[in-house]
Amino acid sequence: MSSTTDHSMTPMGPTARSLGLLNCHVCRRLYPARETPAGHHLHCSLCKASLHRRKSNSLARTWALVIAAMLLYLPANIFPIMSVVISGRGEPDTILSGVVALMNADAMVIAILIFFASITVPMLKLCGLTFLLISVQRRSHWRPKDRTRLYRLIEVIGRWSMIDMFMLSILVALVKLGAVATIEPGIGATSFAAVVVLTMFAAESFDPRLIWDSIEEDR
Amino acid sequence: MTGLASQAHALIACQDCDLIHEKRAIPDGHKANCARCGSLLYCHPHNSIQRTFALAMACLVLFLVANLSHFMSFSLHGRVQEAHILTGVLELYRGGLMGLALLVFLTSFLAPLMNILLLLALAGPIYFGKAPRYLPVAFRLYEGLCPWAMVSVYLLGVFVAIVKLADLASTPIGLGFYALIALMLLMTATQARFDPESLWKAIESRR
Ligand SMILES: [Zn+2]
Repeated sequence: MSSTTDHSMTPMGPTARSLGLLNCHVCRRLYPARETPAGHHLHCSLCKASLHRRKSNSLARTWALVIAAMLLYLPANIFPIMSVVISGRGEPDTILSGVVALMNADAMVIAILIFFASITVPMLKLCGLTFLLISVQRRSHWRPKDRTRLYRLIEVIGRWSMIDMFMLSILVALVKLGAVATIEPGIGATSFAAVVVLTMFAAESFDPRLIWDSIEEDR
Repeated sequence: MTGLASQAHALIACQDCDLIHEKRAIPDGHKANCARCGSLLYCHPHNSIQRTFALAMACLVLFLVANLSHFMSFSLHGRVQEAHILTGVLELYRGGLMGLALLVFLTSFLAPLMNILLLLALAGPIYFGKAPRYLPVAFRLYEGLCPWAMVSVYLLGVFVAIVKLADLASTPIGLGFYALIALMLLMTATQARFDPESLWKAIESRR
């Protein structure tokens, strides 16, 4: 039980599923699974949440959200997220050209931060979720602990992609000084925001317990 | 449908790999992790409810300060513009980016505010010895909003905006900036203090 004991990769001990128990995902109480009429669910007596053995339709829903996010990832990177116009002159910035501009302005730390948040994080989320989906569908036994870790990482880092969007909202609020300088948000920003939202929902709909299920079933 | 016998109440399933564990008493500030996948199983900080209530009150005050005072201003050729969280949302909306405006509104304003209010609504009654019926619903709403409350990410956005505008004009920092930093730290502390298990125990004991 302590975090120091490492039981390596060998699955051991009973799971809620193998004991025929349903785990309430809200209050963590356990209930014996019973047959219910089609379309009906058991409910937790304490918090009234409906009880499911696994997140419903996890793989199909996650695939749908990941594919939608991949399609929007292209316009998010091709189209400008904003145009800064100073004294009538200026050019549109995409996510990548924004990073390059920061590098040229000798703001290396911020450039690395934005590169990580706006380019690495969405890529990692999309590739990571695709990898997890395929590995579960192929009933892979490969490093389940590391794959669970990857899932938790994807869950945690997702929000950091929003840095660019927040910066944009601050810039448009500050720089509305009429003819001198304007900042116009572009279509890439909306696409990028949609990618962030879709990948957050995708991470939420994936059920990491599926990684372990096939290993136990194949034992 | 009733829960398992008292013996089963001492059992808990890992949310990431489904492995069953026996619950044990752990010292304050410690965490119990899954023996198989390492995920957090539970931690039961002491005085969770009292401290959550007090910290959430402080969060609410800081939230108001952070939103009522500007966090930075921008002056160019003698004209000064001040930035609040909500002016950014408004300008995005005026610029025709409805979806982005909604997302920034949700993540930087609505979700953090709702989370503070929900923590007060959850911890408050239990602190005063009551367990109203709305607690489970309020908790599920709180849990659902947690990933969407992004005060810390917003703060980094402010840093980047300062750097971006540095060679364009001067950008003096306002009181709201310090309030945002304090809010970020305090909200993290509050959420770490909040132990849902004490909520469920309170509901169970008042049946
Ligand atoms: Zn586990």
